[in-house]
Amino acid sequence: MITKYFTNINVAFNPFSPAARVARIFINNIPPKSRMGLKVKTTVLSSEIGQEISVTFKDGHVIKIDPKASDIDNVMSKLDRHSRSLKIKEDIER
Amino acid sequence: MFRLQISRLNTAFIGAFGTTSSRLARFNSTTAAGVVEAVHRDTLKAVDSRKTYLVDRYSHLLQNSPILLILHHNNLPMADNQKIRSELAPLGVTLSIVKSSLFKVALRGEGHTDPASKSANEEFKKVTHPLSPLLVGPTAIISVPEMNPETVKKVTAIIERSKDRLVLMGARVESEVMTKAQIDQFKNLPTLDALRSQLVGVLSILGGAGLVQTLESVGQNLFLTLQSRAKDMEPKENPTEEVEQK
Repeated sequence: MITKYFTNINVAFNPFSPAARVARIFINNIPPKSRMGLKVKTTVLSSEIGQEISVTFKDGHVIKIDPKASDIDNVMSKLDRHSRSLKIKEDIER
Repeated sequence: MFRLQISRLNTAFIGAFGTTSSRLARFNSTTAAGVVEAVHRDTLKAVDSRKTYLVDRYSHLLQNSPILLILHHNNLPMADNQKIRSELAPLGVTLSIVKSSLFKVALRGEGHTDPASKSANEEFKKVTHPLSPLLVGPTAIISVPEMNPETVKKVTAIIERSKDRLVLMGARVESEVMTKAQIDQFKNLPTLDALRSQLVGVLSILGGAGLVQTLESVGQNLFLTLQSRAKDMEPKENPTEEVEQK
């Protein structure tokens, strides 16, 4: 997963729900080193309502994903798609 | 030449300690029966394997800690790991990163004498513990060896200070499963001893008046009913019914 272009991550999950698996593996996949310039907020909910993964990118674009509806590979590929487009822009500007 | 020396050495040993079989017999006689039984465990995985060791360790933790906090951890870097552990150490609690699948085995086989054994596996194979939804992904546990909400309060403060390295998800208090919201309530309770002394205080204040009366009232009511019944019976002077009165 390309974490270079993330600025803000908000993860809310209910640990007793099956969707927690995706959310937990996602926050675990963010390397400790990249956490320096990156805000990660984890909220533990007590109900199924309001579970989400939301990522803000450097260009201000926000992607919100429902962890109930997708698996971890889907989440990563969705985020990487935007990261890659940012990377291409960066390469052209150089 | 070398072989000859070894054979000489062997005979010297046998001369000193007797034959191997007699030595073994002497060794067995010194061990307690329980210890010998424990050696012959019928475990699902090999007795000296890592899996059996971990299941044993987890079931030991489960038995000896009335409070068990279950956390999510995010790849703790070495420095953070050491810092958190050194902060937890003075409270007498231990942080352990668990292998989820084996922790599940220890949890579900808790009622069994040996959760790592074949019989426990057969019996509890299809049982899912209410805590098992928490055991997906990277999981850590903090075991608190005493029933003290104040320790939980201090531990949660340390967890919150860890900047989302550790995330508290749930707990097991005695045999009850708690969500995070319930832990937040629980940690603000006074200790068990304080609660007990409060109860004693309440009882001793009420002891003179209300409580004693309430407890006695059942017996008193019965006595009064029987007495009124006895009065009804008296004019008839029937000896068999007098027996009933008593």
